[in-house]
Amino acid sequence: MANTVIGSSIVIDGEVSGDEPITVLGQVKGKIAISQNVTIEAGAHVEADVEGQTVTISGRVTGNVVARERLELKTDAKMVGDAKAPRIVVADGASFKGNVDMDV
Amino acid sequence: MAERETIIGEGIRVSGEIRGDEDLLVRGRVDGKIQITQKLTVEEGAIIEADVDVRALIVSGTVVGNIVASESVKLLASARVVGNLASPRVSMDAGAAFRGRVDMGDVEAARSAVVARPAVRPAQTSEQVEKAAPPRIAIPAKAAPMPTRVVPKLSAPAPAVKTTTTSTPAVPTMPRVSSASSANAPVWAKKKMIKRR
Amino acid sequence: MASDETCLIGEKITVRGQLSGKQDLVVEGRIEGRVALDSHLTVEPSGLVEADVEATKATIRGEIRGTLQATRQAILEASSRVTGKVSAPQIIIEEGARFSGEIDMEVPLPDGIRAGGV
Repeated sequence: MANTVIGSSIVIDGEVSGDEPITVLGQVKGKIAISQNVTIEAGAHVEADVEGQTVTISGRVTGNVVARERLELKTDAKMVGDAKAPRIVVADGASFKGNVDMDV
Repeated sequence: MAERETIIGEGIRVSGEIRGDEDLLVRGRVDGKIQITQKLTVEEGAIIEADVDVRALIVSGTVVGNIVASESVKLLASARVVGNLASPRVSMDAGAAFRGRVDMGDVEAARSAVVARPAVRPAQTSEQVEKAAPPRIAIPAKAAPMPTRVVPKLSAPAPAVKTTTTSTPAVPTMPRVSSASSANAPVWAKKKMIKRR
Repeated sequence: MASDETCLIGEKITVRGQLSGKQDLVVEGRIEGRVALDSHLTVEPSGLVEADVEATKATIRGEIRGTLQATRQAILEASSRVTGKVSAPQIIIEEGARFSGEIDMEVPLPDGIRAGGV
């Protein structure tokens, strides 16, 4: 049973919500609110506020991110927005601009 | 290149517009609008409340909205579809339930009508759709001016042999049917409605 | 209710008016008007029915223009050409069938889903 995958040629203009893990390779503009893990792969372009359990970013995110468990910015990730998570990992090479709130 | 496939899982809901160039498999819910240049598969249990513009469509779940498929539409046994359908090839298996128009003629006209409509929430879509006046299609005699795009194409394949009939492809008896409902208004009728606004 | 014999309307026959009965009917020719059968209607590839049709079951391989109401099942086979409205509790449309018109069936929808305007 494959998990939710938003492919690289897909553009979603709206809200994505739900309770299973999702992987984004394409574009999402709007809002992502998931009670499970959210993975934004390299090449993905998200212009949205993102909520997830563990949020892993390798692509581009413009928006505020709330991770209930952990936020991870991998190498080459680019994030512009406020981050709120009890644990945050920013890899060498990742780019981040915004406020950080770890007091969750 | 349609090897990749986007999957909207069972526990996911997308509210808005989905566009893309790859196959899309929906197991969860989508409301708004779907425009894919490849194949859309709506699995059993999936619910789509959206206008759909795709190359091929296979339905085993629920779709409420207008459908344009440039290649084919297949309604499998557990399909539940309400809305208008425009596609050169339509098939329906035993057990499928469908209510709405089926048009195998002018798919391009139907597509531009669907594409032109903004993606709206289902509730709004219903309102828009309710405003479409059924009389538009209900007057077959006068239907000639209106569906000019459709009439010639539809009559082309079928009654080349059989003459006489002035009756247009629009159903003569449709007007008296119960639901003067929007779901029955052809997509091009809605397009006209919108342009007017 | 249908008797064992099937009534056949040959290819070169045209019937204008009202046709009703309890016998299975096979149409190879032409019917214009109204058909009300408590039985199975088959329209062969050469058949043309320009009528409002009521039947228990309808198997269409030819052409129908008008309304078709089947109380049990309507089958539009690959060679069929249907223009008009079809309503039946079960409808089968084979690939290749050419249909232009409306289909009216009960569509059970999941809770909370509204079909606009219906």
